[in-house]
Formats: sequence, C-alpha cells, structure tokens
Amino acid sequence: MKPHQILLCILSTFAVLAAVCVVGAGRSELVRVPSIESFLPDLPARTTPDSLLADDEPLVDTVLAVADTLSAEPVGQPAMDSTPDQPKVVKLPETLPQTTLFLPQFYAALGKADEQSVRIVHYGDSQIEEDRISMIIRRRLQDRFGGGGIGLVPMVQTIPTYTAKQTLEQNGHEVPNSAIKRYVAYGPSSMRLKDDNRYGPMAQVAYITEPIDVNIELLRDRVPTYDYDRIRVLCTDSVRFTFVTDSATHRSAIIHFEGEGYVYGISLETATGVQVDNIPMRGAAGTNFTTMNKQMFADYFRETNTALIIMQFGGNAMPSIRTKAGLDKYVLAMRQQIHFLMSAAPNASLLFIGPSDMITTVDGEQQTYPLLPQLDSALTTMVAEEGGAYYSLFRLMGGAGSMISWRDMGLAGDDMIHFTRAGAKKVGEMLAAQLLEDYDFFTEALADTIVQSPNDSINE
Amino acid sequence: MLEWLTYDPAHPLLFTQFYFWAFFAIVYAGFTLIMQRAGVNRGRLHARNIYLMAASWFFYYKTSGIFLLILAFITLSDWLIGKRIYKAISSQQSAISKLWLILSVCIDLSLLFYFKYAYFFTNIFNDLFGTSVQVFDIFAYIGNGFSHDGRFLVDRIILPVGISFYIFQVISYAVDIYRGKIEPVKNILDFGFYVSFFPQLVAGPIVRASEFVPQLYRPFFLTRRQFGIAVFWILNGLLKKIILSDYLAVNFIDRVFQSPMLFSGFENFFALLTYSMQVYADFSGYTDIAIGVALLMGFYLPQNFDSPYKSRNPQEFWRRWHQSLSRWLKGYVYIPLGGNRTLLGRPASKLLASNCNSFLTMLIGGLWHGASWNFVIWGALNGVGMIINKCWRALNEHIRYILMLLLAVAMVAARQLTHDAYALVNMVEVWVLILWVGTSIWYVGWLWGFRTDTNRFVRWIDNAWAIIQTFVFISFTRLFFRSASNLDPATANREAWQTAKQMVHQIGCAWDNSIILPFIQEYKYVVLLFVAGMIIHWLPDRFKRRYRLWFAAMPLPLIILAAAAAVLLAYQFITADMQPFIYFQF
Repeated sequence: MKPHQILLCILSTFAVLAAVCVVGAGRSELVRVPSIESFLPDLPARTTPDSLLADDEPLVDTVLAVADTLSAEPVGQPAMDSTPDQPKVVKLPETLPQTTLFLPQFYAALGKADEQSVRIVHYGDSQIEEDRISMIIRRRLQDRFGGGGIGLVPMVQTIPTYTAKQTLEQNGHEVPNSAIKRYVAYGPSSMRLKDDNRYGPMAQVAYITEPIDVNIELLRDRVPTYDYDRIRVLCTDSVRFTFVTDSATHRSAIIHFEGEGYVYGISLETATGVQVDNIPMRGAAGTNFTTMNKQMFADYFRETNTALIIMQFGGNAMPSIRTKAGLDKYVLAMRQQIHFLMSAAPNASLLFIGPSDMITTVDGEQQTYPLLPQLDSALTTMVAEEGGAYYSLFRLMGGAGSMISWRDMGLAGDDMIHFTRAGAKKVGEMLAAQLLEDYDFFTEALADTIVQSPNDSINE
Repeated sequence: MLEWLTYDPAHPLLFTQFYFWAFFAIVYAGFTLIMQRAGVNRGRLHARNIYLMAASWFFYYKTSGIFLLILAFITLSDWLIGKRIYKAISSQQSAISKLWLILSVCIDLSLLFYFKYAYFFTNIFNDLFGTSVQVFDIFAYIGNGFSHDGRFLVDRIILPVGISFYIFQVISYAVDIYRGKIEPVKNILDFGFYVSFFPQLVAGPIVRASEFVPQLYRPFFLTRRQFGIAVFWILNGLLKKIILSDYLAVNFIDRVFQSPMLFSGFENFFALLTYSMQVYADFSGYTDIAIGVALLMGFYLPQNFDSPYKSRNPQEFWRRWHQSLSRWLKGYVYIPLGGNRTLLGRPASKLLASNCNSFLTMLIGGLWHGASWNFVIWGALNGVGMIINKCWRALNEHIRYILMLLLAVAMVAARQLTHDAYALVNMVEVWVLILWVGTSIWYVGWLWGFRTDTNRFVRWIDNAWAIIQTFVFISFTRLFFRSASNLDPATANREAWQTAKQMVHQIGCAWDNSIILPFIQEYKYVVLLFVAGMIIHWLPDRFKRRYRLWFAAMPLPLIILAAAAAVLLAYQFITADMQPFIYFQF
C-alpha cells in the first residue's frame, strides 16, 4: 500500500468516528458516544487549589494555604457587641463552613485538663481507619494539654493501626482474630447481635468464652505517643480481667481475660489531660447510632468526662444519594444521630467533619459527585441548627474537583475517595491547629463572652 | 494554540488519548507528502528520516519538556564516539577502540545513574554512614544560572521519561560497532532518528542498532496484509490497555496496593493475580500499539511479548516476557559476565557459571526496572526461581517426590513449632502443601504408567499444572515490583517495603474463605475481565494467528469500521462508572 492510501484510511476512521459522535452523542444510555467537544483540549485548568495560587509556588503548600484562607474567614468574622454595661455577646454566622469555634463545653473542659481527664471520641468511616487523623489530633492536643495513651481500642483489632499492634494469645501462643467472636453494629447483618443492641461506645463488641490474653504494643518507633498511666476495661460483670504493663517504658500491656461475657473495649489513658478515641466504622454512613443502646453511650461519655464528640461521615452515603429527596433523607437521619449522641453526652460539644471531595465518572469525565456540594451545605446548616460545629473538608480541600489535585500531590489515593497517610496527616494537622487556635480565641478574646449559635436568640 | 505545541506535564502524548492520534495523523500526512514528492530515492529516505526525527523530538518534548536536551546530548555523544570506535577498529587499534567504548558506556550509564538511581544510592550512603545527605540537582542549578529566575528545583531530581530505554539502545549501538556487527551511522540526523523514533521511545521495545539501523536506508514498503496486521496490533493494544489494564487498575488493583491493610487476605491475593494481568496488558498493549504505528510507517519493531503466561517455568517466562529487554540483557550483560563459560573472569563449570551469571543478570534487570530494594528483591526472586527450577528439572521423579514430601513435612513442622501467626510461614506452608498434593498426584500417575509423551490428556494436565505454578510464582514476585512502582523516589524504599510487608501480612494472616463468594458477586466485572483476559491469553497461538490474518484480510471499509467500533468499545470502559468501594471485612 502507498502512504497516501494509508493516510486516507486513517482519515476515514476519524471521519466515521466524527459522524458517530455528531449523530449519536447523548442519544443512547446503553452505548455512550462522546461529543465532538469532548475531544477538544480542556487546557484551561480546572478549579483546584493550585490554580488559585501563583504557578511557581510549591504544590504541596498550596493546599494548606487555601485551607488557611478558608478556615480563617468565619473565625475572624463573628459579630461582636461590646457595650460596656452588658456582657459581650458573639453571634456566630449563619453558615459555619470551617470553624471549630463553637465548641464551648470542650474548650471549657480543656482549660481544666491539668486536673481532670478530657475525652474526645472520634467516630468516623474508613477515612479515619488505622488511627489516621485521630492520632494527629491526639498528639497535638496532648503536646499542649497533657495526657497520654491511645484511648479506646477494641478487644479484637481487625484493622491494624499506625499507633498500636494488637494480638491475641492463648496458652502463650498467638491466635488469629477469628478465635474471638465479634459483633458489629455496622457492616453485614450477619455480624449483628441477636435480640440485643448493647454494642457499647465502639459500636462493636467481643464475646469471650475461655481465657485469652490481649497484647497491646504501642508502635512508638512509628508514631510517638505519650505514656498511659492506667487501663480501663469495658466489659460485662461476668468477665474477669487482670493486666500486666511494661511499667518502665509503657510500650506494651497484656490484659488477661477469663470468664464468659462481652468486652466492649480497652482504654490506655491517663488520669488527667487529653484522651482521644479513634472509632472507625468501616463502610458506615453514620446513621446507625440510633440502633444501639443509648445508655451505654451515656455511661461511657459520663465516666470518661467526654467533652467533644467528633463525627466524620458522609463519604459512604454519597454514592447512593442521587436525588434531592435522598439527600434530605440522609441529612434528617444524621440529625437524629446528632440528637442521639448529644443527648447521651449533654456536657459535650459536637464537631461534625463533613465528607471530603469525592470523584466519580460522569459521561467519561472525572468530577465531583454532583450532589456533594449540596450535601455539604445541607450538613453545614443542619449541624449549626443542632448547636454543633461543622468542619467542611470539602471546602477545606478546595471544593469541587480538588480531590484530583490532592491525588496528584500524593495526598489522596487513586480511588480519589480516600486520603493517603500523608493526606490524612495534613487534614489532622489542619484540624488540630484549628482547634488550638480556636481554643486560644475562645479563652482569650471571648473570656467574658457569651457565645451563641446562629439559631439562639440573644437574651438580654 | 501555542499551548498545544508547548510542554505541558498534564497533557503528555499518550497512545490512549485522542491527541496522540491527531498528532500521528498530522505526522503521517507530512510523511505521505515526503514519500510522494521528494526527489530521488536516497534523498527521499534522508528527508523521511529527518522529518520523523523532528516529529519524534516534538513527541519527546511534549512528554518530557527540557529533558529533550538529554536525548540530544546522548545522540551527539554516542554518534561521535561510535565513529571513533569504528575508526580505531578499522586501524586495528583494539585498545583504543575499547577505551572509546568504555567512555561511551560510562557517559550513558552516568546519566542513567544520575537521574534514576541518585535517591537510591543516597539512601544507601545515608544508611551506611548515618548521614542525612540530600540529593542536589546540578543540572537544575546550572539551568537556574542561565534562566536567573530559579525556575528549576535543585533539591529534586526528576526522572526523564524513557531514559532507561534509549540509554540501553545507544549502549547497544556502541557495543555493536565495537563487536563489528554494524558500521556507524554516517549522518547524525539518521542516528538521531534511530535513538528517538517516537513509537518506541518511551516504553520500548528496546531496538538494537543491528536490527533497526539497516531499516534507515530501506525504502517504504507495506503490503495490504501488513497494513491490516498493523491496524490489528494497534486496536489489540488499545483494547488491552484500556479494558484490561486501566479498568482493572482503577477499579481494584490500585486501591489494594495503596492500602493493603484495608483489604482481606483473599482480596490482596487476587490483587496480585490481577496485577499480573494488568501489567501484561499495559506493557504489551503499549508495545503492540508501538509495533503497529511503526509498521504503518514501514518500520519493523521486534516482538516484545509472546504469551508469557503460557510459560511452564521462570526461564521460559523470561524468554517470552519483555523479549527485547531479555535479549538485550543476554547480549550485553549475561554474555559479557561470562555466560556459561566463566565466572568473574575465571573459568568455571557450566552449571555454576550459568547459574551465577543468570542470577547477576536478573539482579541487574531488577534494578533496571526501578531504583528501590524491592526491584532488587524482585530480580533476585526471579533469579532464584530460575535456578531452583533448572535444578529441579534435572532431578529424577523419585527424588523430586521425596524432596517435596520432606519440604511439606518441614513446613508443617515449622508452622507447628512457631505456633504464632507468622504471615510468611503461613503463606509458604499453604503453597508448599498445594505443590505437594499436585506433585503426589503426578507421582502416583507416573508410577501407574501415565506419561506426558504418550498420553495427550496427561500432557495437557502437566502443562496446565506447570503453567499455573509459574503464573502464581511470577505473580508473587510482582508483589515487590508493584509495591515499588509509581513512588516518589525519595521515599520509595521505605514505602515499597511497607506495602509488600502489609500485603504478605494480609495474605498470610487475614485470609477468610467466606468472603470469596461475596467478593466475586460484588466485583463481578473485575473478576470477569480477569478470567476473560486469561482465557484469551491462553488461546492457542495458531488460533490467534488465524484470526489476526482473517482481520488483516478484511476489506478496507470493514477494517475502518472495526477500528471505529473498537474505539467506541474502549470509550465505554473509559467512561464506565467506577466500581464502588465494597468492604468484606469489618
């Protein structure tokens, strides 16, 4: 064949494809046909954190820069009435996309952390697995307010964490996790308790029938943690336990269990300072709290002096939210969960961390889930109405499409849903810094001030 | 418009994107003009070579930006030194020709080591001496001196795309001249074309000078059937890459390798198997397209893959996998190391020399694939696998069975003695027991008189058993390969090792048979694609050759329609909804 004949074939193929695109684009749902426009280059960059800054700035820092800018807005703008005769009143803005300012009980408790334990319970989905995010918050707050240990861990650690290695031993030999029966309030229904909803504060429970040791080793070479000085075990009365700790370094503890009954968790903690529990619920949308025994939550929150509950959900719900009605239904369900937890912990503040940006494929284009911005807004409003603080990961990251940039920078995985360890660390550092900054603002600038949520009326 | 012509790291020219094919159509239009209109035959070929070199340099510029200068430098350096080597040989100055060859290889390897292995060796240095030396990009520093705006980052060395491939090509050029296999290319532009020919520039096949240089002076010739075959290779590669490779990677494999601890043992194991399919489809798909595109311009690139997962043992696998690299390593590493004659320059037994030199070659081959210990481990595992298999095959049936029995007993004993849940021990024990069961069945059959050379059914079973063993072994070694891929070189060693360890842990300690069925149900498209890919891969060669020829013989309009249909089919997978995240372990 001659080159001009081959060229003709190439061009003919292009022509056939162009004709198919012109005739078929958008006509069929069964066979997707691209439009001609989709072949034209989209050289103008999408809205991403890096596009907001000068080209020559290092990419990694841009995310933090944007985060700082966004998070600074609401914090710096509360309307303050400073009439000399009356107490100062702060009315927080209607929308609180990224603020941790409105956590009055928590900040008040933090101020007394040198004489009492201040517990933070961090619930979330797979974004916080492996103690990601929580361990950063724990470390930064313990740096400042004291405290030690790693907080509450389940008896059977099926998903290893960066902070501690947990193994089970019987007769001096390691046994697999499957040696212990576990029940969880999320995940498949086959793992639920039968005719019972007493899962405890970790939403999971282990059932033991014979003697067994739980060996917990803090991985301090990997993640530095402060010493714990006591161990709390949550279990039914039918279970007996003793423990041995490495008193010199506090690197490890062996808890020996006997009897038959339920174990709800083990906490390595200190008598004073900050404790942070990391409680991931794999695959959960966060709507399962109300199916569990409330009294167990209330008891735990009261006994541990829980001052802050963090809920980090939304990511697992997003793929199944396809309509406004579905979105409203989810937000309503989350409102009920917040009610549930806040009524179980009347002395605690609530911080809701919204879903991160998440990417899906729409007509061949990678883009943010179409209803994610609305979900973020709706959760912002709902949480504010419930008197909690809302921390919008979505806006913090840079808004729609920003997950692609986070992925490109190695901060998010290729699934463009989960953070990498570096990304989780960045989020944890940002949140911890925000909490500390807002604590200072709360205790210094607002020392004699009444802080009101947007839906409260000013009562003079 | 200017943005289309300038370097944009976000928009490289990739075979799977429309821009590449628009680029190719434009290049081919120019190519057609030259081949139609240029004057006498010799001048026409020269014009064609210069034109394609210019197109190739533009292609590389779009892919790698300023690193085009490295390509230009290598071209100039090796062209000049190649002439010197030839001149010294012609005047029978063997010492001088060797010196020129050493200089050439040193320059080439220095560049490769600088750009590819700076972090690796810096890390080793720091580990050995407890220092915290950081890399410093001298080229960026010099560049900043010229530009005065500090645009280049000096604390980071970026790997130029395709450098491993074109460095090996120019080394082969110098060595082939030294060995008297070829004469140096007279015109530097022709040589530049050989080094930079865009279809194979960034991912091979590695074309040896002796195979390609003669084609520079051959006129364009393509039969109607060859045209059909070229189109077939392009479409075959495109579909392999988009359907089998990209879909599997995005929807399953990458997720597991990114966070192995989030997945159960079975999911990790299945990710390893599917990764074997993905890496094959990706790499062979790319080279299929390269071979097809080059053929449309009348150039023949060597075959690079020959159904590697049909291999009965690791040795055969490496004869079928990345053949151009295997040939290169054999010709320019294994033979110079001594082949099966000498070891470290001294005469040695054939068995010892051959095994040691094979092992060293595999180590070097591993390191060529990437700068991390994981790649070295990967190469070493392949080397060890080859040697063990070679020795195993030399044993008679009785000894093989006794050894396997002893190994199985040893593994069970080790498992009982250790008691604790050591992931690697668990994995090896299960695998050894499977091998022992297979070997026992085979041995009993052999004692009963079933022979592979007389019974077709037995031969088929024996073949399948050997192929599956090889596939699983190769897939396991890829645990180290994939873990170390696509990583920041500054942290590659640590991260790669961590990922590999976590995957072994999950496979060895977090295996749960009850999730296998739900997994297959939920990930049905991933599983179906993997199974379909393996079945197609295992189709008999003669059947594949038949449908290839049948495609090539189709009327041109049908070929055009088939091409358009293939593109639309690929588009369905590109735009398919992503597989939702499904957890099986709570």
